[in-house]
Amino acid sequence: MAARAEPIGLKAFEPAFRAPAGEPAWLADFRKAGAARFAEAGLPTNREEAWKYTSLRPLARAKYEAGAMGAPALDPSALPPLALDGAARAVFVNGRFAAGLSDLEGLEAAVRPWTEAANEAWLRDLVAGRAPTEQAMYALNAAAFDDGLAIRVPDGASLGRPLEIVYVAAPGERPLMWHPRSAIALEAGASATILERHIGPGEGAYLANHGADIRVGEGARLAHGKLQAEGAEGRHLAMTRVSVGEGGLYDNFVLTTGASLSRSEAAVRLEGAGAETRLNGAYAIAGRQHADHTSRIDHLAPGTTSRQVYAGAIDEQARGVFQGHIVVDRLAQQTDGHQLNRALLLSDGAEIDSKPILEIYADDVKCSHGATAGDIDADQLFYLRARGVPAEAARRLVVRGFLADAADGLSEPSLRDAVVAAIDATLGLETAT
Amino acid sequence: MLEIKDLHVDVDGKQILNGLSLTVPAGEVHAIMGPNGSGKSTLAYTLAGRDGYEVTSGAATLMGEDLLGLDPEERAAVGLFLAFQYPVEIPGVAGMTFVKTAINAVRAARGEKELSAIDFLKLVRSRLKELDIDEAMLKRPVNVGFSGGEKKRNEVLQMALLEPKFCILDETDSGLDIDALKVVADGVNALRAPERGMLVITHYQRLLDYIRPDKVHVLAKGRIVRTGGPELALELEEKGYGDVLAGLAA
Repeated sequence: MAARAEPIGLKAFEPAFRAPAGEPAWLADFRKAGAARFAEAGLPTNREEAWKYTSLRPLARAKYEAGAMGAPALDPSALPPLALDGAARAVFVNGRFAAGLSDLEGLEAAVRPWTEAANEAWLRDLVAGRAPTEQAMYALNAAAFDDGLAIRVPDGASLGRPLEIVYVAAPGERPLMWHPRSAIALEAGASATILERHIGPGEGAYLANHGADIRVGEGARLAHGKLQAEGAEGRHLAMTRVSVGEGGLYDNFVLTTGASLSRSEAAVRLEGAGAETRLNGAYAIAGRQHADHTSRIDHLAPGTTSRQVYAGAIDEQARGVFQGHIVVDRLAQQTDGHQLNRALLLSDGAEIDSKPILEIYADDVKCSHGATAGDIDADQLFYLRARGVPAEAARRLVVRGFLADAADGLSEPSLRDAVVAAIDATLGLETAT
Repeated sequence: MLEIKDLHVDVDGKQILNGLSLTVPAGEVHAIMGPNGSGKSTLAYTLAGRDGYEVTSGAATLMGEDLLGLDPEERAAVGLFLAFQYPVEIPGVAGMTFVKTAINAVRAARGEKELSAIDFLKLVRSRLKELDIDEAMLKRPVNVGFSGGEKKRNEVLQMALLEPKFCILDETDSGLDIDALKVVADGVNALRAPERGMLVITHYQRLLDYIRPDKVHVLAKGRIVRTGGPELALELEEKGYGDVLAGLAA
């Protein structure tokens, strides 16, 4: 029997592992554990069940280099206008915080560089105080990250202003990678609205590998949106771990339109009674884009609720992946968990792979999942055309409706409007006011 | 205005319209009545240009323009409007966006300028007022979760906004209680005009108490078998379609 081959991509990514002097011991341990896990697992490929439809094998050959420390200069005019009225803005360029482009006025106490907060107990508890995850890219992020934000909103407080975190890619001649890390803790009764925006140019290869830890405390509410519009040659990976306390709400929406390859993965633990999460999303992809949305929700306490609606419009040779795993613990009676994945296949070459898993150990629960895949609705198209709307415009409007409908579940209206405006912009439609 | 000559239409390879001829002059409202399966909705969809309705022979023109060679949106631009029997739900598209897109598309096709946001809103508000419809209806996604009455009122609102030359109302009374029916009929009557024609398709005479037709045609087995005044509708109500169909078989 042959010896086990070296994990895929280890050689390519090991040089990115970091062990900066002066970090607290817990963080050094956390990095070591991440490095060890990645050294064992390597890049996930579709031999693993969790990565059945998305292989990261091509990353091993891409020769990504860690860019220089510090954000490269960027003309502020390259930034998009704010999507949320009155929002503060934190800008990252190639994964590094760009203070000069950011406006965090009034949020200085709550929003800080991750590494600066590393000595504080809350961050240690949030990151290291939970069971480690096996997810290899999260582990790689832990081993390699050097920048990111740590956000903490104290008991009963609101973040004050909505926050946009803009990650701008400015790739160079050679492929670059970065591994930003975020932490968000909302203490009991706190609330925040946060919108991540990921943007990149039409040319230039890069890998953005995000890792995030989030805790939504008792009765706290986090509305967390993400507009992923990475560059055409960009690859975007994100692993987000969330825990929600009693009566708390984690409300998430991901809009995926960019990157050649992307995976947005969330693992949400509903730990307190009555905790709720909404993981919704929409994606519009074409060409050879590959967009993966993967989630795992653990219902661990009674009366917890989860809602997932993902809607995708897949054109040309693009491929969408949806994996939704719901686990209902024995103690989680009166759980309400629903999941729906809907895909519009706009051409013969388009593909959707849908894998729902329900694992239920309690007996008094309401859980469901559904998946649909099909052509654009001919009745809707005819209705619009009969009113005078030309075929192509009618088609775009039907697709728009299909995607925007998934944003209906967002609890924060400003975030919903921002998502819908981004959908319209992607489809070249005007947003009605 | 609308002229249909010897129209033959197949659906799924089966002949449904079988030599239908009909003329509706400007300013007149004609009713088409007929039993289920006689081809009433097929006529409506064929005129509007729905896929799957194959015209094997015959002609249909509106103000001299050949309808049958046109795409559905081109027919709308010529001035044809079909009020659907089953208005379609479009999740995620607000009514306001829908009517604005439609109005501007029709204007563009006619070589007219797009309405400014202000003019559009003025137009919408005045029509809403005339039809006694709450603006909230246009903030909701098109027809989603609407009652039968709301859907039909929404059709009449679109009709009033698009100001078509010719209106086809396909079973507009279906699914309506008597109050909703009156409201919808009032809206339709308000649009009667010397330069506008209408074709009202219905199974029941009831609607014609509220929208008084100039002529009534009976459609059976894919063609017009009788034509008369409004009294014909009353006769059909009383005696049913049996006599007409029996006469046809003889």
